[in-house]
Amino acid sequence: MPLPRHDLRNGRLNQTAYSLFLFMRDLTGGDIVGWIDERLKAVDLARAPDRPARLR
Amino acid sequence: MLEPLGHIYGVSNKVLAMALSDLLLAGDAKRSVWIEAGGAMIAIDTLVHNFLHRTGILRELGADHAYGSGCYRPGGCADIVERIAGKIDARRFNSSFPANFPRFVQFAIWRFCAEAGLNRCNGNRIDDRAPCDQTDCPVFDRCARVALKPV
Repeated sequence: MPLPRHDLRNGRLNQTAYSLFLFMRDLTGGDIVGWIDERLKAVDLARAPDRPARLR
Repeated sequence: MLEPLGHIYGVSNKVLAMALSDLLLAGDAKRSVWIEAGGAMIAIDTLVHNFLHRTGILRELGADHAYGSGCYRPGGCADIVERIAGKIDARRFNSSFPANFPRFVQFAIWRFCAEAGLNRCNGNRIDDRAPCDQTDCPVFDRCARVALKPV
């Protein structure tokens, strides 16, 4: 039985979608919102001149 | 945040900055640090990079570089837009905006340039082999009019 085929143009968007899914599953523990909160919490709260860059 | 997310296949810094800016600015009004971070996301595309080149801002700051990853390195386009934004109180344009709003300033530059915006500073309007000759441009007198691809 052949595997089903996706109706794709070149598959790159599909690769990106899977890559995003795997990032959210494996690197954020399935909690992208909590991950963002933690990343932003880690930014020094002092009003450093480079704070906007740190937030990126 | 951009660095780890940049490992996702096929997404550039520009796309990430645009997507995260929308998500963070509109995601949750109660998360003030999200709004601050969303406002700090700067998407540099060729229009914004070329604007900084043509106006002479890159040359003036000794920051000449090719469009690409250099735009996000220290002293690159993103840093420059951030510096400019630090001197503009965005609340003058909308009282609900944060005072320091780099994404707004970047978007304003993009709109000034883009065909879908004010259609002013772009390759359709300017023959980049020579300095821009749009004498009716609102910043013509203050612009260095550096040729993008001099012959």
